[in-house]
Amino acid sequence: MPVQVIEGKIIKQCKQNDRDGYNALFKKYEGYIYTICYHYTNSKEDALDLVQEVFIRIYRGMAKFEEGKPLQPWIKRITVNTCLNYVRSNKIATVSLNQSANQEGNVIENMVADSADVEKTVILAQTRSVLDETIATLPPEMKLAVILRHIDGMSYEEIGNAMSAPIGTVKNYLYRGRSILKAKLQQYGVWEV
Amino acid sequence: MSCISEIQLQEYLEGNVQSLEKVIIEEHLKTCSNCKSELLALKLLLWELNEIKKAKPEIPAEVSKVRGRVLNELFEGNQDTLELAEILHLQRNNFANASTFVKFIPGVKTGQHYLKQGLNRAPSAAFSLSGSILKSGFKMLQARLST
Repeated sequence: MPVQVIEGKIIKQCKQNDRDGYNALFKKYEGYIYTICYHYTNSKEDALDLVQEVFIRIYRGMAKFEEGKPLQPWIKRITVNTCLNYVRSNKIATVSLNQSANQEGNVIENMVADSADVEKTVILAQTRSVLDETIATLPPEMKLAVILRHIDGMSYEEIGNAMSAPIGTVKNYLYRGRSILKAKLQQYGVWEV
Repeated sequence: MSCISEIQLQEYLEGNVQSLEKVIIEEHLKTCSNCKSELLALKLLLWELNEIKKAKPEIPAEVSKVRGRVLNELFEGNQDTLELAEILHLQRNNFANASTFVKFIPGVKTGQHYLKQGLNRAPSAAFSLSGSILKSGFKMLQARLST
């Protein structure tokens, strides 16, 4: 059976408030949703909380979903919005991120240098975990844009659709996000460039 | 020639530049070591990000548990769809629990017991007592009205 037909069947079941329909829908997309949430939060527990929130939002939004439309972009949009609304349990970290978003590269570097915790973890860490940590410290929109583009492999248009933002804005998020990531990785000396 | 901006380098790596711009950038990179090392750093970053993409995180078993929990909450334990009988039962329990303290007030229980006993033994006494109280009250009212 083609994918669209199966999806159509699942959506119909969900629209009738059928438990099996939702079970099939969640099962199909839970891996994808978890992956995005995991990269966004860099924590298994937080990612699981977000997955739960996404499931509930899908259920609540099902009445408004138009039958015949592709399901995946809609689920991506819900996942993205849930991630953006997510407030980190570590509030201090969130404040420092927002500040860094409005500053120039030098200031970000100074702020990073001030953060003893990050420095400590970096000394022993591998490039990969440094990168994970650094992605986690990006401001929410930049972080999502980078994850969707480079880890999920979405096009600019798809990201714009998922984040409800124009392509120019998406490009700007990506440019600034990559710029911060590069500056931090260079500063930590993970590359011998 | 002035150096290439980082935004241009990123666009170049993403393949978003026109062919003429691409030639200019490539010519510049041949001679400018600063831009070359910037480009290398960006390339490494994209490579690292691609590595994350390849190494997909393991989907923990808890995800399916979350699914089960959400479905149970949505389809079974939904507070909005409580039956009327369940609500009444809950309310009755609430009242019973809230008035438990009455049982522990000294004298209430024994007082109630003796009152019941007395009424059972002499219902006529209670009846005549209430009747006489009513009568006397009626007389008092009459007296007041007449004055």
